[in-house]
Amino acid sequence: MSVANQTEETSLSKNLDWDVLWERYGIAVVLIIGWIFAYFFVPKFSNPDNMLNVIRQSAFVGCAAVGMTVAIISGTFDLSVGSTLALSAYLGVMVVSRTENIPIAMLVTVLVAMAVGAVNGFLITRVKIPAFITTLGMLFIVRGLSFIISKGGEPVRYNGKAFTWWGNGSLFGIPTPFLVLVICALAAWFILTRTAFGRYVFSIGTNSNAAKVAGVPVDSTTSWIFIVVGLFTGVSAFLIGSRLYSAGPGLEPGFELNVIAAVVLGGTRLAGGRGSMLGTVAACILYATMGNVLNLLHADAFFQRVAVGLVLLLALSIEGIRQRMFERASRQISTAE
Amino acid sequence: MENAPEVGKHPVHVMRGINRLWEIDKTMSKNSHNVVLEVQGLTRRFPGVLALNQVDFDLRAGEVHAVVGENGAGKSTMINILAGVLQPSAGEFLLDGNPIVFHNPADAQQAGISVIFQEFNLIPHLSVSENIFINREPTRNGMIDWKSMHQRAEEALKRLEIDIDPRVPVSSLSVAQQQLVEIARALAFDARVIVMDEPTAALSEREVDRLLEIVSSLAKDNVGVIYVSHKLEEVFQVADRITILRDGAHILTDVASTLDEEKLIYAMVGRALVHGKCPDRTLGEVVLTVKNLNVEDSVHNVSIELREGEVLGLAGLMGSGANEVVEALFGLRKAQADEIVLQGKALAIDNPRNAIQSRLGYVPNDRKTAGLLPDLSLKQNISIGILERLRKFFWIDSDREHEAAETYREKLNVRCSSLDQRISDLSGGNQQKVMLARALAEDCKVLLLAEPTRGVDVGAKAEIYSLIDLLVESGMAVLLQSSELPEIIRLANRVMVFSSGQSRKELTGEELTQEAVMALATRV
Amino acid sequence: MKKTMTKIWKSYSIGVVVVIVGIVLSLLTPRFMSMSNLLNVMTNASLVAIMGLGMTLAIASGNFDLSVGSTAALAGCISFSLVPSIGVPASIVAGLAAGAIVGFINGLIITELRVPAFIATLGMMTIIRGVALIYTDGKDLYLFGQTEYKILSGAYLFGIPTPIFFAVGIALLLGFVISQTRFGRHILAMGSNLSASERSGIPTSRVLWAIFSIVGATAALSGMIISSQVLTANGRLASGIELSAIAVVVLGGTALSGGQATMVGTLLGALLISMVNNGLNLLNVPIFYQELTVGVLMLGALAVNISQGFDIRSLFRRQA
Repeated sequence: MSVANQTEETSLSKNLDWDVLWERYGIAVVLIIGWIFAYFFVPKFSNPDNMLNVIRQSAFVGCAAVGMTVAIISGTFDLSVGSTLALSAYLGVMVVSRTENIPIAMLVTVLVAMAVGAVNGFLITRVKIPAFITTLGMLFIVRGLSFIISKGGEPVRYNGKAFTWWGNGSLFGIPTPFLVLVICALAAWFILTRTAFGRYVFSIGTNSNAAKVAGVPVDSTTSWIFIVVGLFTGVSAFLIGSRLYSAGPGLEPGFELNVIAAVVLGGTRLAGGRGSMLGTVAACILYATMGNVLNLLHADAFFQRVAVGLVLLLALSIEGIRQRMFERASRQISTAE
Repeated sequence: MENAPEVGKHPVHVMRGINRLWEIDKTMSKNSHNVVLEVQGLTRRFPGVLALNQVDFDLRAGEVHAVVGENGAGKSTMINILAGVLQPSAGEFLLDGNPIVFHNPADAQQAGISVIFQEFNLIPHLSVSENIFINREPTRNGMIDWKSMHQRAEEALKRLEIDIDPRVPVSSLSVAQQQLVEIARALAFDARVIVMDEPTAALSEREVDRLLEIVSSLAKDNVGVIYVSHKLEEVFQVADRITILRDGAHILTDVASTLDEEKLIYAMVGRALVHGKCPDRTLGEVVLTVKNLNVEDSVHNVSIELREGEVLGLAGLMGSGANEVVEALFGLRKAQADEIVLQGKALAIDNPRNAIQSRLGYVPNDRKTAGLLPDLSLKQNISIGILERLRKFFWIDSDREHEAAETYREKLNVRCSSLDQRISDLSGGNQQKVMLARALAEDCKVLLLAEPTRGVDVGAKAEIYSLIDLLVESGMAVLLQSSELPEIIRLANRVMVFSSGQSRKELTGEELTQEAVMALATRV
Repeated sequence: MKKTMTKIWKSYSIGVVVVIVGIVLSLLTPRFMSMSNLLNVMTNASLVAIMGLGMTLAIASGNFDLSVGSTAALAGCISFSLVPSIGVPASIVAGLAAGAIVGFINGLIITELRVPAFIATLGMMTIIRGVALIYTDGKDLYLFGQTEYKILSGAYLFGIPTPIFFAVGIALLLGFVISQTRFGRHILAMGSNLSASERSGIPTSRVLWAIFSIVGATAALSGMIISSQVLTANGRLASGIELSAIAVVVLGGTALSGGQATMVGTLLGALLISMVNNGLNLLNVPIFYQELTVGVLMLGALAVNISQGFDIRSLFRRQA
């Protein structure tokens, strides 16, 4: 039989490496291919303004997706980000419209979102309500709060140049929101891969019981994870408010599921333990690109929706099918013995 | 080399020779004994380990045939093969004299073989009757015929004289009752062979008696029972014949009445200690004192004193409390004790994090569920407990992390292609070394080891033993919990033998032999 | 004794809460107890309840379905569009069939492509909504004159609006299935212990397909009733309702972990939310407090349940 020092799994590990590569870089590769194709074959895509706009668009979901990536790597997720987005954007725009003070507005936006995250963390780790239900309940509560605060859903508006620059302007030719996204993604990736906190996030996701036995502070890490989700959601909120010159409770319906879809499409699987920030960013750009290309091709606006869901299912089916093949193969090995 | 089992005092082939002569005699009278199931030359290989080596076995209708052996003897493997879960590498199955092959659990069940595993196959939310008739529920006009099902369930239960209301959900039953439901289910399937895997591990004394009564009545009903256990007293109470396995080989099969505990134990463990006994050690100060530790229902009033430079062994079979002691000390179980003092400081440990901070290191007995971080690399698995120490400003100093990991990789001779290799790609032995490295990296004063060489190949085992020697030489204090007798004798200078949650006796020096440990461990 | 009390509270707590809230509301505003208002409350409850009933089945089996809102919209659109050509009864059947097919596809994606239920139904959610929008070209569909369609929402039977009959009827039907048929018991088995179910030979894939088909059909019915109420169907219908459907099930007492189901609970959960919303309306509390209350109710209910520390699985785990 095989070499004594190998487990049964290693004879199949070559297959597994392909899966890891696909997870990490697959979507980025698809994105590049997509862009090359679009550049040459889709009329008006190669227009610089157009391409920059696509990149700009990707950042609004992207920043929140960065935070969600952290959560999903740790094996959980947050359904309340859409409502949090609306609430914090509203408060941020309101503050900036009253005070004309950008830094304060940024701070308020982010802090409000982080506060929601803290509540999520508390309910999950202390009261021990499962994350799905906690964040679902908070989705309703926070949305209700934003309606209440906005006295019935009246959006607040502000179009001061300094403020709207964040969502609509550019720096050195690159759309500002995208720069923010890149900074966020890099910062988050740094934290995930270089800090103890990040290490703990991965270990909880890969095997939370083993993490506990190894001395990882599971509860406090989990609480902080939700605060981090809030942080990045707040960034998205600020950018969107700036982009739209306004914010109201009805902001971006379905946002939470879009964010989760982007993260999962990007290669970070719901099971946790591993993930790809590059993939998240690439997936956001990919979604924005798809929307743009379909527009330019005068495709049915509604076909976009279909495309979005289809792409997600396709990407995950690839893994599902590989998994079936893996199962079939491993069954053969144990019988061949 | 890797295919050869650990041979002991009586080389396997000699035993087989003796058995062959005896078997010829047996074959002549076998057919008159109504053999239901027979296994010839059963062999099963895993990478690096020969779990079963040419085992012969037969079961007669209406007999209770016990299979006895210690950890690693091959009992679980044999059970899994009988259940159709694993395939044999070689060997033949005969059912009523006709050859048969089980490709999967359904085949085995069709053939009338029912296996009751330690992890029950029950559906907690459904009623007893539904569990008994799962997927074969009697129906009338498309609806479930509750009356008929409950009635038939009650009959099945009555047959075993079990007094359980078949209408209640299985989750409301005690573990012992759930086990009885599993048996009832097997019978309702018209099983001709029922295999029980360590059935009394979680039962109270009275429940054990009840179970043994039921086993006897099963036999009276002409069902063949394979009773796998290492609780010798029970085995003697209920078995007609006893088969002993040791290191994957068939050692002995005989009528229970001609065997006694001494013979049994000798057959179970009688082997030359390949690893020998533990070296002489110089002991230092007392470093850990535990007085009257109680852990829920598993451990009663255990007191421990551990010195620097010594390895204190906690021996015992599953459920004896030895493992629970170690888990409690590390904060994985709720426990009370009059006193726990480590290096002069009183300890209150209620979670692994403060255990580690108090300089206790731990290697869990099941690295798959409680140890390894599968998606992480070798290096990251080692450093997970010391990340705060490796800090540079607010991030991890990757050079120091690499250095630390490399130090331990070398020290423990972990074979890998690189420190960044994914831990799940390593072999069992190397993975276990990484677990050890993690504990050592935490600079612990007391090392708690639970089954440290479980699932580890022979070569790595020896390396780990040498390492433990070195560690204690430099002053480490080690608490070693193991159910592998040669291991505990090789490593521990003192052994506390556990059974039923209590420490029975402390063995050391000359009196520390496999037989002595086993004799104490199998006492109820 | 304590065990029985816990059991009663666990099974009927939502009912108790409904009664208490009902009493409180009727004290606060006499209009609450009027027959027409109560019927109104129950009718509104029925809309989400019907969807929730199918969802209960999915959750009992250890899954859930995020695509129900989209399926509702699609079914409404397909149904409306076919009325002129094949008449009302057939188009209602067509709508149901469409829902069932969508559900079946969900099931296939989960079992054959091994995509986790969350992602599978998330993807289908956007796909199906896109399909609905494409099918209607983004426009609204109207019913002119074919008022037989009103049977779904506007007709009265013994003075009680039909949606309530549908809700109760489906609750009875599915309750029957869950408690009296092999299929239903197997659903619970899968949610309770999937591996044991597989090992016992239960055809888990087929059961899953059937479950999701039913979920799709109930979502379709919900969608058609909603469309029938406003006599309009479009692709934007029932956006975001999926999370409300899940909330209703959880409020009703069916655990997300699976293995048990209470159809009555789901009905009561929907009723509670509808009551609260209605009460807040009558009290002239701004409409946006409603969502807040739903969320608070959900979390409150779960916090209470969890503080009782009752985990059915802990009774089953063997302590060796």
